[in-house]
Amino acid sequence: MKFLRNLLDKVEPNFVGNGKYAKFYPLYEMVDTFLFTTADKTENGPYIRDAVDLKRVMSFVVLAMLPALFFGIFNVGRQVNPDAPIIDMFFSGLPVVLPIILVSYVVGGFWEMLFSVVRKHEINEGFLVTGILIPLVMPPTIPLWMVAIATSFGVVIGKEIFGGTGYNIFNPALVARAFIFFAYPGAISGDKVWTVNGVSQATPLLQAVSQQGSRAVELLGDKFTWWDMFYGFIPGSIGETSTLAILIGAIFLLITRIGNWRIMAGTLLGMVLTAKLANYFGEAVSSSNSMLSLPAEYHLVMGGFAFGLVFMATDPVSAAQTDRGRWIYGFLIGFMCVVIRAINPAYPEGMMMAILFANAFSPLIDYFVMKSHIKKRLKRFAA
Amino acid sequence: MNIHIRKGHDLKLVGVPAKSVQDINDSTFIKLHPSDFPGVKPKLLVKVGETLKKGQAVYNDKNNSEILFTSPNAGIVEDIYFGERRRIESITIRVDENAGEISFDQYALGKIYELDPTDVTDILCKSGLWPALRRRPFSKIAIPHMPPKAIFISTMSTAPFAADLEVVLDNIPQDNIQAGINVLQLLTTGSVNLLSPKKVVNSKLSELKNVQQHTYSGPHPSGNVGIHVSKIDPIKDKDDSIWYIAIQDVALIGSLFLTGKQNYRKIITVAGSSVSHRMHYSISRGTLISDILSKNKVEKDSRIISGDVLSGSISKLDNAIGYYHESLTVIPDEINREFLGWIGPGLSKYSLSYTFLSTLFPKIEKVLSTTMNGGKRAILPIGAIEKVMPLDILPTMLLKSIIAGDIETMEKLGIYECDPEDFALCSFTDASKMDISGIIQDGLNIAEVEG
Repeated sequence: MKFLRNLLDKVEPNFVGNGKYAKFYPLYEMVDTFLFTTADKTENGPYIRDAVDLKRVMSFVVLAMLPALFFGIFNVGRQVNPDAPIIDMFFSGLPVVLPIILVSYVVGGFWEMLFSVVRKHEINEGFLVTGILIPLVMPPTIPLWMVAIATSFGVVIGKEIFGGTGYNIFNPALVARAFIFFAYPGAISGDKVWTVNGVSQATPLLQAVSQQGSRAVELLGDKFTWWDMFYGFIPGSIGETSTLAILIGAIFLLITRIGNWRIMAGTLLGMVLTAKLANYFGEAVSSSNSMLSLPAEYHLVMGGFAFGLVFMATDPVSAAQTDRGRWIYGFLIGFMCVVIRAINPAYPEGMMMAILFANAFSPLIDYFVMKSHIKKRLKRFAA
Repeated sequence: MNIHIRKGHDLKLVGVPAKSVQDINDSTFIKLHPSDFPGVKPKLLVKVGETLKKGQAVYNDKNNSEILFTSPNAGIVEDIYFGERRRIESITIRVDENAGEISFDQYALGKIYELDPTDVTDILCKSGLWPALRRRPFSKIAIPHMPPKAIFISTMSTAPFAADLEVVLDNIPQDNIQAGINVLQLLTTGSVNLLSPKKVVNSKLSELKNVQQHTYSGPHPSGNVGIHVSKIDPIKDKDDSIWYIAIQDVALIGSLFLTGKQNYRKIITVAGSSVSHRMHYSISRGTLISDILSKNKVEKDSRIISGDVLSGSISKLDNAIGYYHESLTVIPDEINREFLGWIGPGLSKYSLSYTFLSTLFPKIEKVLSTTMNGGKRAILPIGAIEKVMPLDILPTMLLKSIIAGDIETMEKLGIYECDPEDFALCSFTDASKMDISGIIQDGLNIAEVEG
């Protein structure tokens, strides 16, 4: 390691002050602090600092997504090579998924570096997370050029024009997905895109709306049992199918306190209450809408709900930033997800829209939380 | 009333001072630093070579000329050092105890009540003890003749390596504290409040009269005056003010009125992992850090902090310890750049996050150096700073309003209740490495001028 350190120290003069490549200092800084912990010292109090930094936080979010990623690769491989042993299934999935991840990281990383160099700030680790989120919310059949365009849109329009990580209003990965949804709807909806073996197969959500007048659970029938969907042996976006793998990630995020439990709990609560209400309402008016009859526990394991709840809704930047606001924000996501799923049969996957919608509302939620906080503060002096 | 807080953290660091006390006398030089007092514009009242009596004024504040800053010992002005833009950095005095001292009238303990508040203010200003009284908001020296709604006496800090209250009480007579309280009672229209840790039970405190006694418990910052004020008598707006003072200074005030003589001695701690004789020291104000540390082996590449490690100030051997500081902390200043440190298991790391294995062993004391442990980033509100913020404040919203320069919102969110020291743990634990204490100070500066 001494060798690497010496090499870095030797080239450093080129990147600072009047050095030849001073413009590219953010690049040097990235490599330098990626390999070795920072050399920066405290200048004002407190003179000691917590060992945690954004590199640690962001890489832990990526770690939390690994179970979902590995299962996703396996699930794709299962479609390519249905009769192979489990290990072979995994390796059959790799050639499909790996290129998508690579394109996302390379294209996104390019924009991230470009903006860092132009804006002269250090490269933010936020892209570590966005770069893996994007592939995980894509169908396995997505063309790579679409991934490249969507990633560019998500990073530049979704984040950089607002000032970069920390300043964005919407979750950049969801912006990327929404971009494909509106620009190339055929590539990300319908029943043709979710499997790589050429056989068209509806996702459970599509299956559940396939015949009006029936009950959703009956439509799912034996094709998709609850446990199948919980384990993830279903067609869907690469990372979203296994609720179990996502749950493992959720537990990791909660133990490390990186994922906000209030947002997760609020989202779950919003979904369960709204689903119950929909069940009751559908029953009461004898609606022919099959989605109104879908029980809450099915909402949980179908489509992108669990993935969105754990990895998207909890994005601290685009979420509400007050504790009470986080409950409201989460609740809104759960509520909107069920509402979109139930009353818009043409687009049964509601999670992406629900989160983007709540993203747009989170500053307003915080504003009202702040207002009521100020009111409460004033009361202290009234006595 | 007991003030118990849950949000906060007691830092467990190597270098806790022993309870023994050592006297530091016979200094050759002492120093005064006007920069100890934020907001004071010093105007010199002496010249180099002039002989000073103990307690004689050395400079005053241009904004408030009756507040005098006096020499804690008799001697000759050796040097006046000017820094950038002719700012007075230090005034060095060569100690000569034969030069005499300035004395005041003596009062019996029972007679102090009968004094006139104006005369009391006058005596305190002349004696150089007035600066020990500070006000909130803004944490600057109290303004004479503007009585606050309450006075708060703090006894023991909850920051790392704070001077032990039992040790401090052993070294001061109870009469001095009582006399000091009686003096303070004359200066406010409201109550004088004394805050002590719940775990310290001492008759020297419990038998005090004319004072509202409160206790506090829970992790740091439960000992911060800002927390006490917010729970007992919160600050409403810019013009609402309370004063606060440390118990050692209360005793010095008491001693001045009882004996008519000036005393500037106080107990401090020397602590931190880079120093060897960690214990309590009895020193005179103005004592040079090199004299305090003379028997110590200080590791090379260490940083000397006058005050505690969270909110003290960077100092050096030939400076004096800060006027308000009650500890001298020395920590390693050498940074070991670890290979791929961001992904290691982190058994030896100190963190309030739950992302290192060391979280499983929270009781182990650690050596922390001056490393930032990461690069500066934009706000990433994961809720970590809220966990160490016991004030009824929305910290993320307040920080944003300060950065945006939105004075109206920061006032509504309670900027006047805040002090940088209350936010020190927020700066400590923030993964984005923002200078949160500094932002709060900026907010206070803007609000003081334009609010």
